[in-house]
Amino acid sequence: MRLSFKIAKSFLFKNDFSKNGVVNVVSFIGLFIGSLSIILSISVLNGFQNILKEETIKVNGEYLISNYNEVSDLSIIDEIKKNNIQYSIFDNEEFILSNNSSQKLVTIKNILNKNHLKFYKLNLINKEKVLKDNEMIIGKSLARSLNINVGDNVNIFSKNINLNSLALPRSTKFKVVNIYSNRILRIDDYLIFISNNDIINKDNLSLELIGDIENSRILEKRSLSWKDRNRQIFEATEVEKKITFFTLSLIIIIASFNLCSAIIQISSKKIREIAILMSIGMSKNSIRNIFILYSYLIGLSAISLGVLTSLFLIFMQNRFSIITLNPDYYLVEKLPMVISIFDIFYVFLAAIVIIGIFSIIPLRFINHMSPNQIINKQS
Amino acid sequence: MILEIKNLSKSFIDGKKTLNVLKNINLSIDQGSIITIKGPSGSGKSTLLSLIGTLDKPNKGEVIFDNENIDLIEDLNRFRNDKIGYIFQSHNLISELSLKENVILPREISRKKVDHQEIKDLFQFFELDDRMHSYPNDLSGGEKQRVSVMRAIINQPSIVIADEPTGNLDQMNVFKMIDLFKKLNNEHNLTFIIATHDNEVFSIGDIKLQLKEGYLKNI
Repeated sequence: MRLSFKIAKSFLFKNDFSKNGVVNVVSFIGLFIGSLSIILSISVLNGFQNILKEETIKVNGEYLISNYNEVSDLSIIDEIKKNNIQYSIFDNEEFILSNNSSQKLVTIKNILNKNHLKFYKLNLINKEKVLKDNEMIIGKSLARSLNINVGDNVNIFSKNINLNSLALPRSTKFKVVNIYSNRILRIDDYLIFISNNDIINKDNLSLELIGDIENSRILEKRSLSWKDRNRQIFEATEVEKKITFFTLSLIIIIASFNLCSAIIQISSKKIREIAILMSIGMSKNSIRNIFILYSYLIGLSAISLGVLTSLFLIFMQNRFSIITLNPDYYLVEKLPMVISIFDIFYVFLAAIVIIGIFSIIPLRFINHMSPNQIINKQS
Repeated sequence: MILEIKNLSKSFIDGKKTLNVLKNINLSIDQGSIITIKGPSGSGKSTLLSLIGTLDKPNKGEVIFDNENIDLIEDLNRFRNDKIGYIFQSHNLISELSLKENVILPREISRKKVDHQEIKDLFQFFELDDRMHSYPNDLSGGEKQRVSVMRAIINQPSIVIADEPTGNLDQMNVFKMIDLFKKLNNEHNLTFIIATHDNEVFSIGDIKLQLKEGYLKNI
């Protein structure tokens, strides 16, 4: 392999540029653009996916345990405390929210312990995050649609329409003390936070957790991750990422056609050299390796340069926020870009496979080559 | 005996015709001898050398190399690398590699250790010690052919096969090449099988053969 690499390097670098250089440069540019566009696109999708995750975790935690029973599930709390996991116990129910003549069906997260409100990392308009019995925090979008401001009083009705002694629906009055925003999931259009023991349904408690639950079988077995709870949206972003990866891989495939042409060109020009190498005992596999390595020298250097350039651009964007966005439309102020080592690995893996296939195909003629005929013809 | 050829025949199909290039060739070669073969163009000299050098296979007959039938050798690449040195009419050096890199190619293919002092001495022997790091395109035709001789003998082969080695050389370089073959034969007991049109080269053979109409005759 070392000798094949040495000869491949000589064929690539010690040749007159005008002879093979142009097709090599075209292949190089194609592969460079391909890898650059894949990494940049994937990083933007990762960035938005990360924001989606962060915003979800802010209001829903990382994991959910449903049907929590305060008496029989004491082991769960022990496990949580043992593994240093943050948690919140709540009752999740649907109510009708009424402000003057406007009503809307909302989901109320009634937190069992007022201190657990700290669990939720809400983007509040007022920094103070304390809830008394008849206070609530509502979403910005909901507040806007029902024309509610901080300090307003609103009523909630059970959606089952329980009637009181005057045959009027039972209602509970709350004071709006804060407004949060979470626009990515549109949760602020329907989710309300309260902490009221009078209307909490203790038979319908759930737990939300943030932390590493991998050390606990009990927690792992009973919990549902944020991905599972938002499966549709999460899978949509995953599919989008895969389609983007596949679509942009086409650039690499097209560039590999050029690489294939480069291999056909160089191997036809070097037919005499191939015959010489065969005559002095080099195996057909080693000769094939020369051209495959030649191809990889062009391909992997182009991919590496593309990856390095994209990493530099991602760093610059994250450091200096070069591309800014209008948060009214895009929900974030700057273009989010995040890349993982696995994405880079997949780009290299895809490139190695594609380049390998496109290099091997034109080299099949070596199997049928007769070195003596070539040398005698060219003498 | 280093090489024995028994009833060797080779034919090619050209359209609907079959060309019998070699017919029942028999030959025995001792270690350290020089065999020269002449014959008109297309008489099958190169084909015979290709069969001896394992670059092609006969239709019939056997080539016994050092008591081993080459048909039964599994790794012919290794055999060729180890036992046979090739010199072609055109120098056939790899232009992207330096002279030294060209010369040590068979040694690197065999994965044997390259002794740089030995290579230096070899270049000195061939009077090219100041050109070790030059490239083939910087050399004259005679110098290039000397380098290809170096490449042919670097692995100390049992036989050196030379196919028209002086075909592209001027008279002065032909004489130089003849001296070189004789010197290598005398000093290193190298066996040469040389196919040539040149009468001067033909005359150096211990056994002189003529290939005509597919048959090999002693002269």
